[in-house]
Amino acid sequence: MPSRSRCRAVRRTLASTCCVAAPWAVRLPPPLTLRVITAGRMACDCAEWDFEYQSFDLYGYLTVQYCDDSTASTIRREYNGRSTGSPTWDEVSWKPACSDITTSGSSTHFSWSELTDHSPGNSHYPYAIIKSDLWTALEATRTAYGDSSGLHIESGYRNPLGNASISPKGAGQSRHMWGDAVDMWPIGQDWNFGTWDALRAVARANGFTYNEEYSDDPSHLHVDLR
Amino acid sequence: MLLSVVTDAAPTAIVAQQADLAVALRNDTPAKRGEAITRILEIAPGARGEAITAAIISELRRQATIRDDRMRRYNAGEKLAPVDEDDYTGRLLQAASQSHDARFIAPMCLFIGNGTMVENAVARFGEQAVRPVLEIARLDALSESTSGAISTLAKMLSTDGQNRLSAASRIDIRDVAIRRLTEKSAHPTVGVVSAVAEIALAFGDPTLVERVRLLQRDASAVRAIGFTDPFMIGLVQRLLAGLLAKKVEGGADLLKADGQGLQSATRCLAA
Repeated sequence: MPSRSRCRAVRRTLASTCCVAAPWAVRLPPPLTLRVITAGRMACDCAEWDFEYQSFDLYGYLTVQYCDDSTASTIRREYNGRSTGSPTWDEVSWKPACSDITTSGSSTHFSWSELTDHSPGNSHYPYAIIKSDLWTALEATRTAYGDSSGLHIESGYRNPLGNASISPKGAGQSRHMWGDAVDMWPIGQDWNFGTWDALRAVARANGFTYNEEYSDDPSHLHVDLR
Repeated sequence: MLLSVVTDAAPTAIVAQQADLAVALRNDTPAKRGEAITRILEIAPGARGEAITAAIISELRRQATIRDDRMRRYNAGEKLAPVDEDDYTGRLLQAASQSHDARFIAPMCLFIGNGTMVENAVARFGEQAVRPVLEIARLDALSESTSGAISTLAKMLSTDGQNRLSAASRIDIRDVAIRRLTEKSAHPTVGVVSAVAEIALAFGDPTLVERVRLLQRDASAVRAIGFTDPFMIGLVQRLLAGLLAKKVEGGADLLKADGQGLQSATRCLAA
């Protein structure tokens, strides 16, 4: 079973209902000590701290959340984007929960490292996100494809920093950051359109709902579960 | 108070915001276009206005032109750098596939080879989409579009779409299936054969189903439609075996809906 980090949510009253206009924010690192940050510190900036900004509700409460595991928190913050330094990347339009970020998992024929240990694509290995449906679809695809040599996983999970660090830079909203995408090819077979198409046919029959086209990158088959 | 300001300002602000997004989609840099499609996907499909619809259609056509050009260069032997535009096409297709506007049929057909998300979205249009999809399904080309189109036709038949298809469409679809299952192809692909088998099983037509069974058990029949690689022949047979085991029952259920079983399907085809 994959180990799962726990999340802790904290609610505190704030004076403002608007993130951008908030003149101050709170910092609540463990143990829970309340500090008031003054001098124009924006609530949005709490991504710099030990929790990720969530939302204000209509009653002026700010809900903040952070993962018990600091690496998981770091990964979650990466989904907010980074506009300074190098590399930069955009906010990802999906945000993982703490419990999505784990350090282990496997299926009969695929190991955790096969899907997650791709440097620099995943700069936080062994931390990664792999949706359970991905294991299922991959196993079913491998079985149905039927070649005993198996499937090579060129790329599985990428964290936003890793995705921005690969060359060429990964797509800004790459499904690899959702943990439900793989780039793959069959081991020990000639790789051409016929093989690509065959693997694609098998993958789509076994749960994968989207594939990039052959001309997008003929070096592998990209499939995902969007 | 904040809520009331937002509500009062909404209609004008939303139209202006959507117009801005449409302009960004058509004219801006790849990064800005990526940002625009992200924001468009955040808008409920039913709330997306005309400007956005037109911009998505135009962008899908532009992306198809770029893709076709890449394919031409690739076929000419040029080594291509991987596409890097923010998973942009995929997200345009996601937005298009959420719409019920029939104007999206043609541009989505340009990407019918992109998987079940697009296939499902086009199949939902039923009769309205049959002609353009049939056109692609008839092509004997080295392209993922052909199998995507055939698979889309199968989905039109196997969902509630069957009742909405005209007799002429059903006959044309059956004709495509028969040809694909019997005639030698210059570009045989596993994807096409497995998609045609889906049509056969969705119809429940005895002739088509028997042809699928023949391909499943007789390698020489698979060779006769153009396959030469023993691994691919075996793969075709394994896939067909899986489909036969999984879907014959589903096809029969579909036909049971009118209480008359296979005979009614045959009558439909003859109609």
